[in-house]
Amino acid sequence: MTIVATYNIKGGVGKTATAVNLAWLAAGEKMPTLIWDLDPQGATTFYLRVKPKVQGGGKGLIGGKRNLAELIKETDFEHLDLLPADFSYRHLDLLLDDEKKPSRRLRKLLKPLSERYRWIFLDCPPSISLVSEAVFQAADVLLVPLIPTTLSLRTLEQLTRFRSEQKLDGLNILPFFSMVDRRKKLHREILTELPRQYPDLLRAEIPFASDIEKMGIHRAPLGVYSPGSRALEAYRALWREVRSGLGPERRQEP
Amino acid sequence: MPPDICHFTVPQKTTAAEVFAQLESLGKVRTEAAGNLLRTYFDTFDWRLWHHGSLLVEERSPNRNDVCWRYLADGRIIGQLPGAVPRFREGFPDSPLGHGIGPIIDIRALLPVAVTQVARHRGKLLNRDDKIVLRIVIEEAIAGEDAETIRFPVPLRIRLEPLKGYSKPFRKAQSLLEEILALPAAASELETVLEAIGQKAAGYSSRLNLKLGSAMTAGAAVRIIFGRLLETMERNCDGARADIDPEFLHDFRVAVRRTRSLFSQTKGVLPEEAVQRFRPEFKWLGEITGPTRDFDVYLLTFPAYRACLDEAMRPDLEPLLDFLAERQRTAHKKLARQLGSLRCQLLFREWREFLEAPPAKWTWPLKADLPIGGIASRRIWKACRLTWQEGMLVTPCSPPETFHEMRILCKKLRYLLEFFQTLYPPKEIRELIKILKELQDNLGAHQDLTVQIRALQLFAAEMQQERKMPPGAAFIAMGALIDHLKQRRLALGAAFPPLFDRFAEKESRRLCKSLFADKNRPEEVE
Ligand SMILES: Nc1ncnc2c1ncn2[C@@H]1O[C@H](COP(=O)(O)OP(=O)(O)OP(=O)(O)O)[C@@H](O)[C@H]1O
Ligand SMILES: [Mg+2]
Repeated sequence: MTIVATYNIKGGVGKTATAVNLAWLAAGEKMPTLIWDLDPQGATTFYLRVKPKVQGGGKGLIGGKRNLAELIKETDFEHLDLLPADFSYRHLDLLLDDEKKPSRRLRKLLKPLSERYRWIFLDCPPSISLVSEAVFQAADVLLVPLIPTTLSLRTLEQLTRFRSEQKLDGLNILPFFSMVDRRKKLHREILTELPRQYPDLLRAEIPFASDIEKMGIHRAPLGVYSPGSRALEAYRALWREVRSGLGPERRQEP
Repeated sequence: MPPDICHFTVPQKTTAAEVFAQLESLGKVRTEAAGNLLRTYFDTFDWRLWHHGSLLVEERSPNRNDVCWRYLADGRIIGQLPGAVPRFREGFPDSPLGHGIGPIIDIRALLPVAVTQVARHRGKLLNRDDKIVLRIVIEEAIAGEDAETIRFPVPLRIRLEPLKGYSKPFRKAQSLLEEILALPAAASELETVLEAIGQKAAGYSSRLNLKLGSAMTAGAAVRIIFGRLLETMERNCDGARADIDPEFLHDFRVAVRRTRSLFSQTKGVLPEEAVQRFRPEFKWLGEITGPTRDFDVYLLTFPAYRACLDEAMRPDLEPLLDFLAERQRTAHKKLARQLGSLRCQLLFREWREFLEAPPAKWTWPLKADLPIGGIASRRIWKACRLTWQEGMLVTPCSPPETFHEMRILCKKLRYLLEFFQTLYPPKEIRELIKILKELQDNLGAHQDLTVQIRALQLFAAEMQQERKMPPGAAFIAMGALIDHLKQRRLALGAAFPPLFDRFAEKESRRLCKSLFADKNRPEEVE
């Protein structure tokens, strides 16, 4: 099991779009995959046409009264399951704070699922909080969408600093460019500049595409309604990098 | 826990479209164009997959061909492969399916048992968000024993596949179907298909499965046993003639041996004329089937032979394999002719007529009217005592002939126990057979090695005469093999005494005595 969290302190950068499309691609390769929609707004849950409700709410879940496995919903796509969002997740910080080791809580909750799923995606709300700390502890990979602006470098620096402060050495931070518009001069500049300063950046970039915006209209992953699109190709390239960066291929290397 | 997949059958004439229409009352149903496929069900002659609780099918549709191994009970897939079902385990590609099925079917051939032509309809039940909440598969089919005879309608089969987290729509669909037209499927898919073509699963078993009562007369009892053995011979005759796999001939021969053994164990029960007429014929059947069986065994053991040798020497053994295969072919050709002969046909026909004739047609001796219980107990008790007596004289260094005689004694006893086991408490008899079986396995292996060593020596000479053997290498390889087999025989000899002791120990003797020799033995119960 590999846990991939899509995270950025900023909102509206493509976290949800990335989580849904990559999870769909993973499932398409017949690998059992789960997405946990941690955002009370429930965008992932909406895209997958599931009701944003968890029996017993966040409290039952975080407190361990509810078995995670019982709350899982099978999506319309083979091998892709969802742990839906719930409105009560807006208090997730407080709920976690009630637990003994709040930042380790998510990891512990997910552990029993490790046999069942090859990939678990965590779609996080934007913010830095106890929730994100718990996500950092739980995840093997932090997939960070960056819109190419001058601020993106700062975001990265913050994250790297945070990782060393929190001693999260095992956490693999993988940033990539999202919502790229090559007609914009600034985007082009940053696209050439940033990789020099930050070599860990993934190669794949997700273009700004109206196809992707339409996920909300179709309520489906991009590949379902726009299978031949350039945008889907971009997600495929991103998925290949994420998969090989963590997959057995790379792990076997000395 | 999510609910399990469930199946329904519709006894009346109904179409898939009608069922989908009924389900519309639960929500929107989206259906796909039906897919057509030809499905062939496979099993071994003795239904090994069936007994394992699984089912092997080959599904052919216009654009693909798949092998699918599923659980009988709920149809869940155990393994899947593209391609066709091979005849033998060796034909499967290196795959989980092949590895799983291999040990179950072992050396038996996979034969088609039924064929269906299926129109498969898939539907999805959607909720208000157009989210799939239930998958439905409906199969309309007609069946036949083979592709030519397909015409028998199979009841419509409906399969509900729940989605995790959506048990409510599943339950609703379940109760709706129960209410309107469908019945929860009582039988598995294969049973339903077999029933449609007037067949039954597990219609063959090499076991005796006899039900005798101790008050039954000896004459009636032996006719039942002989009849069952004749049935086994007849059922296996075609397969043995066609050499589909070696088990047909094996089961055939076991039935012949049991028949001969029963003749000798029930002296004075059958009319003398009948014994005169039939007994030599079964001896003949035993003789004509021997050579092919021997070569079958060598061929089956060949991989083990090869494994005995050093890696480097293994290729040198190949000429032996060719030699054995050729001999087997020649022997089998002759056997096929003999099994198809008028002599053989007459034997089976007349033997059956005799067994089914009213007793008055023949002069049966008085002994035939005695209850079988007493006769059985006396014979078994005698066989036990003989086995104990002789077994004590066997030591690890005894000559092969001694082991051979011991083996025959044990076999006789085993046959008796199997013929008459329903006359005794099942638990005790099973226990006894188990102990005896271990002993027999040891003796059987010992005897097989003796025969093989002798045969290999002979073959080496013959191969040299026929110049089939490049001098040197193959000869040395066979020599090494013979040495190895002798070593193994020694080890088996050493293992015999403790196994025998288990059978001869006080506890077992007391058990046998109480079952077969004490006052309360069946004869006296009467
Ligand atoms: N590459 C893209 N091109 C165009 N539109 C995009 C792209 N990626 C995402 N969008 C759209 O931008 C909006 C925000 O995207 P998304 O919800 O994926 O971001 P997010 O980081 O998860 O936001 P939030 O922080 O609110 O959870 C959505 O309407 C989405 O459809
Ligand atoms: Mg989001």
